[in-house]
Amino acid sequence: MADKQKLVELNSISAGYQDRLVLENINLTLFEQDFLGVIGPNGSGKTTLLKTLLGLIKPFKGSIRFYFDHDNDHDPRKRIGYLPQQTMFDRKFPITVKDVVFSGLCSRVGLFKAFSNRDRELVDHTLESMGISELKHRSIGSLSGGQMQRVFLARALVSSPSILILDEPDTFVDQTFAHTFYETLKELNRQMAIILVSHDLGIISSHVKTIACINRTLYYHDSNIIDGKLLESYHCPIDLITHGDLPHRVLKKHGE
Amino acid sequence: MLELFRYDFFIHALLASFLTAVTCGVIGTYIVARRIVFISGGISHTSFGGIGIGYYLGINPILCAAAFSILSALGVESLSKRSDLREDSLIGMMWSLGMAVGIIFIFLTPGYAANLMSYLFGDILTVTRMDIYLMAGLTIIISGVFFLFYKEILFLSFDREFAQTQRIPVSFISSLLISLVALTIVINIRIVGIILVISMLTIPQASANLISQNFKTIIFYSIAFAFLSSIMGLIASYIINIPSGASIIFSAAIIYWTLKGVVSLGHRIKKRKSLDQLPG
Repeated sequence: MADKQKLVELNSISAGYQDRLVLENINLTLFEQDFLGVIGPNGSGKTTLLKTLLGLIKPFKGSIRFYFDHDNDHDPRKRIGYLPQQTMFDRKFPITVKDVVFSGLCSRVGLFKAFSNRDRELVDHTLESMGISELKHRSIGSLSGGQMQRVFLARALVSSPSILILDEPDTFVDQTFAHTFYETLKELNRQMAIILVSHDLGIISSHVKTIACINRTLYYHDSNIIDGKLLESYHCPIDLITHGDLPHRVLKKHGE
Repeated sequence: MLELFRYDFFIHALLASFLTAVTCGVIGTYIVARRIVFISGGISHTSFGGIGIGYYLGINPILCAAAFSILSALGVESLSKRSDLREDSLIGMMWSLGMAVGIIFIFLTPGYAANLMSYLFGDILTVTRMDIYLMAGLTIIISGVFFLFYKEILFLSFDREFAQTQRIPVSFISSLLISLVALTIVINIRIVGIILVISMLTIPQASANLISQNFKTIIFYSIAFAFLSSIMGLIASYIINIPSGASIIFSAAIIYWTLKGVVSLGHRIKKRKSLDQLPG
């Protein structure tokens, strides 16, 4: 285990918006093959952490270091695939499935350049591996929740990233699709590290390998077992653990 | 009616119709897709302030309006990023304040008061050679920007944050586009006027959206529908002697309703057919 390759290292990161501090003194190291679940109450800074990792906001303090090998490119963030929260996007927007997936290749292609035949092959291949080739020319608004989620996953994966970041991917997913979705993630985890933000503790504990609990600061837990004691010692609010159906093997009762 | 072609003003009107169709078709598609129709309405009304100041200072009102609305467009763009401001209230303020500034300065201007009506409602038949040159210049700039940045424009309109993670210069392209929105509005004030220009940026796009769900196709259909409405409006305005700006917008609406009727009729026939094919 000790010789696992480091991918990213966050060193005493403090971040937030304008004059509001959301994250304080975060330390986190992500290794190859990691499957990290990130939990925390609303407004605890989960999304801020992702945004900092993605370079969407600059931290006030601290440093982020990427350790990608064989990387000739000076922008390591091109190696990150991102599946944003789905609540924000415009379902009526006139864009086809194929074009949505193409947008995941933008950082590789660069400005002023058109997509090449190789890019087209990559898009076709990714659509096929997600089982949505036949939806290629459909507009995004005409899809079901599960199909849509597959399209956005394809967009995150088309550039073959080393790290896949998923922000609450279960919001739009129906129960039947959820199972296949997490099976797919397990499959993908062989090739890339995954960071998964979720409200659903049941899902977190049954799929991830390690857990980080965020509530302004970050508490890292090197296993996937969540119990009341853990949450308490990490100052995660207790109401978080009373939501949803939690398998008993995951959550011990208080006082046990 | 062919004798019309012997008149310069008519040739100018035709050219202006075409250039209006291209500028409004392209920029309108962006406005509708990004859902910034309200911002654009604000920019359009604010430009009246620029026209008033232009009159007062004795500078070309359209050029003054262009500067005025680009500044207000970039102002809204940068203020809208701040979370402590309510964007729609801000636009509402800007909307009426621009009109107020315009009216104050026009009334302060000594001598003959400008023809307010032609700025508010447009008049395609008074388009000059200079207007045509300005419109042609803008058409070239807009086509160039969309040709160079098509994929970036599409992706940042769809998902701004994801576009940022893809290293698309989102702020730069957004500012460039909002400036082009301002210029398109100001240039087209001569044709359809401050109050009516917003329909030219939305009705042809709504018609195009009835028959296509693809950004690029919507651009081309919008251009076609905008051109068709300008020509229809121009002819109607000549025959029944009504203001051209209003008749152009009315034509655009007629095209929309007709198309909507045809499309829903098509859906109904399709449904009937598929019901007929069911056994029993």
